[in-house]
Amino acid sequence: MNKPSVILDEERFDTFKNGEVLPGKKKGRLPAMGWNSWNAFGSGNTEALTKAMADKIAELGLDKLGYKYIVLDDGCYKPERVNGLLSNEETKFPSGFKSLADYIHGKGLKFGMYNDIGTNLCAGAAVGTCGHEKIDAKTYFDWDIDFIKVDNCYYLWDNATFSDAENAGYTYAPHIKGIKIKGRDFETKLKASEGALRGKGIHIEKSESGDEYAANIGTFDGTGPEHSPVGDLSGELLFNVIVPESGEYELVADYATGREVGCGRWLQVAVGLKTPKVFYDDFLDETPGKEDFRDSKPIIIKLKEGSNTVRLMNHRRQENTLNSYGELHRGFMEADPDRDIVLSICEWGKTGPHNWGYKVGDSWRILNDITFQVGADGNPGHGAWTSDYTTSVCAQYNKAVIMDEFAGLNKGWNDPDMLMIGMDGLDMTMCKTHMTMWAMMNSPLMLGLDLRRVSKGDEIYNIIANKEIIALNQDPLGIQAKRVYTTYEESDFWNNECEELCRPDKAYIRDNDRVDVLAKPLADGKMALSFINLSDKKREKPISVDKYRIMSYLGDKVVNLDCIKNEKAIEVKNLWTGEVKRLEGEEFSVSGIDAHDNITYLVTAID
Amino acid sequence: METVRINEFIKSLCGDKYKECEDCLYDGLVPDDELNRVSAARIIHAFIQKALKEDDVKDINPAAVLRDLYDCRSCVNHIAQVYLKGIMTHVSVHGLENSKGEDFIIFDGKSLVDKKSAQEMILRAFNRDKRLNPS
Repeated sequence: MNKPSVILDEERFDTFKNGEVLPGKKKGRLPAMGWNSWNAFGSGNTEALTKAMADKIAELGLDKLGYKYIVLDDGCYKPERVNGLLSNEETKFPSGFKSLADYIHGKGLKFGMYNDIGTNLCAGAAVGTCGHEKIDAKTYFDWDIDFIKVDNCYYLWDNATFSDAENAGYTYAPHIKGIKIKGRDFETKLKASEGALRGKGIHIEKSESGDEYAANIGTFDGTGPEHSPVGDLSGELLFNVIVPESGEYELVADYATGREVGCGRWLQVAVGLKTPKVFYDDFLDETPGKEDFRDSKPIIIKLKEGSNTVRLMNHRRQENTLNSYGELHRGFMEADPDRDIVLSICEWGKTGPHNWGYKVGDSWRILNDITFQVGADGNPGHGAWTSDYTTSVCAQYNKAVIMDEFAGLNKGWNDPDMLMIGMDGLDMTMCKTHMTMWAMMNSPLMLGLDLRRVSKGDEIYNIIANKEIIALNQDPLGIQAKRVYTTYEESDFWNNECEELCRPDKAYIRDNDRVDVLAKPLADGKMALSFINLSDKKREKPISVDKYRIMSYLGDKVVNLDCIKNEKAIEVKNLWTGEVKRLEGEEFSVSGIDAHDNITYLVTAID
Repeated sequence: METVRINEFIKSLCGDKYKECEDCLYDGLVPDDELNRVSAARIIHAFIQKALKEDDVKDINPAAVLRDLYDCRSCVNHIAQVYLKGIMTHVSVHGLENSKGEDFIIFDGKSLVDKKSAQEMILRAFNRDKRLNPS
């Protein structure tokens, strides 16, 4: 098996929480707004269609509302490189990308393109950036792009879409039965069951011969909707080793390898938690089977006199992906460090990008696609409100809504995928709520419909062009709304079974028969408050949230507590109906929210 | 196994009658590559949409019985359409069963298509009465 790059110090798992970005990465951008070709036309997009969309954005005045980026998704390149370079598919894009960029820039808009960190793009063209990052970055700047969405198909170091399933060998550590540590006048042997299991996934298994070993040492796959994004995504096996003197020691692992989820070949050995040092980061020799244990070659580690934490782990799933996006970022920096380019990470939440995406990118997809039934010229495609998998508004929302702590102006934005407004399968109430959700969650607002179907003042226009809703998304304070209440708190599950993370802002809830309340502090001291009915039923019963609950969840994020404190009178404006009313008492309360509908207020303190 | 090249498959599908849509079926595929099941699904789905003007099946959720349906995110709909329309079939993984005791079935998109299977797919693309009931 080939080997991935050496991981740079600034891309190590242990740096994920330090808040430092890769050199040259710009901060402070608000969520991107624009149009992306995928949901509208799939890989059937063309130059003519793209120009028509740019024309329509200008005609509808959507650019004045913030929709600036026109992004070509998959399906626009030749199937293979030409003399090592990317080039345009000539039937669909006869004038080339520089010419198209000029056209789009001529309209006062910005131009975006698409590629992949693997060898091929998802639709198959063998033109992925892997190994070509520098030349591709230069090419993109020659084409004058302002934005790039980068996918994760055919990735060499993970079992991603179209990749070899055996690539799991890179992303999981071998089964570990124990370790031996030997130094001058010192020797100890520790079983896996004597170690501490830190994080998620890792557990002790028993082999047919009765040996106990640690399994599933790696990062779980976040592409599907099964796992909560909150909390640990990976696990480690830790040993506390007390040695008589500082110096070098030999560590020998008793291990067995595999090439499948839960048992791989790649081991990382580090010492220390606060100031860790990695001593080994490589394959171990392959064993005949995943329960055929053997001793590794000695690994030299340094221990200090007294107590040491020796860590056996594999965080490469996250580190490799960050490194690959980092390579492209470094390519752009080398090509022109002063150019401003938005990097939209699209690895589908597979490797926990909410933990590291801020270092290299401006937003990160949190799940697999919101729809697989994309449109074509003359076909609007199909979207869903709910689904068992990721393919619906609610599935994406359910995950994004508890990810607010990962987002921010100095970080980037959770991306629950492009908007499906205008696709079959979603009525106008659903579309209105879809727009509210994405705006409140500071998600990128990328339209995904054929804009030739939109006229000024029609139902779709009134949703995508609601200035006050867009203003929530583009508020300069840049704080994603927090879920401060959910009617799911009334459920038996919440009261009887929910043991950990049982808070509205942390609990991963996939039952859509509920109303959520989201609160979003704004830069001018105001606050937005959304009551969102995900259910198929009208909610007749009143829903009330008291001000103290909101204050306790938002804490110091609020610019002006007058909005929610009692001392001042409060005015609320419904941002979908325009209705304004004065609020009395200590609660925000609504009743009678229709199925799939939302009531979104702008809350202002008045004298 | 006698494999099929992508360009051979597209030519067989289009024949003389549908020559005008031949180019649009490549859509990023390399003509000389061997045809695998995912590529076959993509090509057939595009062909029945563009040349035969068939509407898509709206609800693709029943195709989620294919355990690897979502492994290939850009071709989920292609696979679901050719599967639900009975043009391509599933592959059973021997020795594995789901919780209901039924066969564990996958689409097996990476497997190569042999000549005989390719001809059967083409036959079913054109003749609705030859199509199979999924699962």
